[in-house]
Amino acid sequence: MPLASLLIVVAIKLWAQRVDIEFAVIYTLVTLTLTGWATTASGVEFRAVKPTSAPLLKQSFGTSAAHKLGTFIVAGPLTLVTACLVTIALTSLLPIARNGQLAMGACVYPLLIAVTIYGICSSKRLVRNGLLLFATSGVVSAFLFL
Amino acid sequence: MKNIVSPTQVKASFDAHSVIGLCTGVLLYLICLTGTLAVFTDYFERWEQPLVAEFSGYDSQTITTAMQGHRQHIGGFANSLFVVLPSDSKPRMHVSGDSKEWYVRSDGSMDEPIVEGWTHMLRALHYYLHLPATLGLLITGVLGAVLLALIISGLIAHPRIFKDAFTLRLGGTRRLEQADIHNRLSVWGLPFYLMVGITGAFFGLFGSLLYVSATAFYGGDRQALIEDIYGADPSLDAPVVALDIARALETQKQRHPQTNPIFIVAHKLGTREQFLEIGATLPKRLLYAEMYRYTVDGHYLGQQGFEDGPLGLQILYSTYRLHFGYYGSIWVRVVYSVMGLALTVIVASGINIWLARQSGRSWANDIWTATVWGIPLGLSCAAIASVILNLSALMSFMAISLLAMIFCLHQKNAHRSATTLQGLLSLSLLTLSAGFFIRFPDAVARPLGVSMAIVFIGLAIGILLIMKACKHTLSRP
Repeated sequence: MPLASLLIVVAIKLWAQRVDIEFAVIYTLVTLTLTGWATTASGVEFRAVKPTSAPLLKQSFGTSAAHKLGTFIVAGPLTLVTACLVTIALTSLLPIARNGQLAMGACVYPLLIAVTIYGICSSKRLVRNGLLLFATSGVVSAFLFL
Repeated sequence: MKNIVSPTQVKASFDAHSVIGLCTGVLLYLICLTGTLAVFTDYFERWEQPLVAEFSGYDSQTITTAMQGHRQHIGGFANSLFVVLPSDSKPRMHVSGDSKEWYVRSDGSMDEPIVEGWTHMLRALHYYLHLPATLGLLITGVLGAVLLALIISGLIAHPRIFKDAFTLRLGGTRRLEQADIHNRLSVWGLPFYLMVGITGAFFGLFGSLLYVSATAFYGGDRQALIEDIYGADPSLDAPVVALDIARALETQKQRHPQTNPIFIVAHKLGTREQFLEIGATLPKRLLYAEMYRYTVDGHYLGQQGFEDGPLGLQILYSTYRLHFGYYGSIWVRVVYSVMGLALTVIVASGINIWLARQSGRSWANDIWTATVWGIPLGLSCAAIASVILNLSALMSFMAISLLAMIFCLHQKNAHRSATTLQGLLSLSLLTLSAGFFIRFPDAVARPLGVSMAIVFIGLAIGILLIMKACKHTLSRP
């Protein structure tokens, strides 16, 4: 599998002979996606419809309204603010020009938000995570503004 | 993946994937669907105003006349006066400044004003959900980050996702079928979804990064930060002279023959600080445009430096075309729309899986049916209202979407509601195709009308086929 993945590099190289490297990467990945879908669709199997017992594994999020609201606040505004401050603080340490720092920040910021949201939603320790984010915001704010 | 992620982590990731998806499903669906359509906004704009003159060749006189025409219409020069030049996807010229825009005929005279109709509504819905711009952009930016969170949690929650990449089993229970569709579309489209997530988040969240950076490092002076990133405007103090677009274009052709001008901006015309900028695309580059600066009488001042500037600047200026697929031929846009539609289906099937896991039905089934089929119906009816009946596109969209919601909640039968909405959607697309020719009987509008009618009829047939397929799947557990 890892060796087969090297074919992607070959494909990029081939595309790059016709278009520039920026487009070569895009076109290779798009071709891979479309080929993957087409191959998958060509091997479609049809299951027989079996009479199943209706209630399947029921998934519920039986948490209190306060917990739901807390999750929203921690995974929403608090994550947004903390990720923004941390991104700026980290990128400001890089020895590159301001526009480079911001471009790097623009890529890191959504990823940091995504990872934090995932971490909060997959953890049961909401209060601990909330306090951790709050403390991080405080420390980074002090570093940036004081 | 199986070895490095524990079953507990898989379960936790699965729960996180469900929670994040459920909380943002409706908005994500709306953003994905409007994004899929937004790829074709150039074509929709042409179709909305089919009587506007189309041409690809132009000369400096056309541009000069257009600028003077704009000045006459608004009673003075706009602070920044834009002339957007014809392109392959939109062979029309338009002039805009101080929020007043007109299309331009090939001789430079003013044509119809640009209508903020259905396409404008669609674009604003995708960009900022018709909320106040700052808040709306922030929300859509966060949704881009949420898409990334869903990708991360989805990958960890499905350890076999790469192993099963080629397995698609339809039929059986609705839950398993939807799960297979969801997972197969997701895994192959992963690079594209990562790209739209990051670039989408960039548009919405960059403002907040700028704001905090300016507060932290520039004493709150955002303009200083922007000038530090993009470069400041040239500072001129010269006698006021007449415009010489011909000379600027000629110099541009001589100095940068490989570039393709897409717009010209005249700044501070009629003052001692006046200057011109030519925005031009570069061959084989994703950069939105490099800016070439001239005095108004056509002397070259220099370029802004996106082309060969720091990598960060080049990345910042490449995200727009990358996100929307505004490069290459029309086939790039077609592929983007297919990918966008796949992402829309992934969002819809994700919630479908969750609903299928629930025992019994609830109001959530009705709300979701109204979202999945009511929003496209709302968009289609809004196009009829705006293009054919000259009514407000936004109000029509909101009214139809709300009616669809009420209808589904009243019916309390997701299967029947979906079938009805699908039928209405097909009917509305056919009405839109035919209605266009009643509204614009002119021969000049016919080619655009026919092209769009073919697309709409194709979509109507596709929806009827889905309707037929859903007849069996929706009734399954």
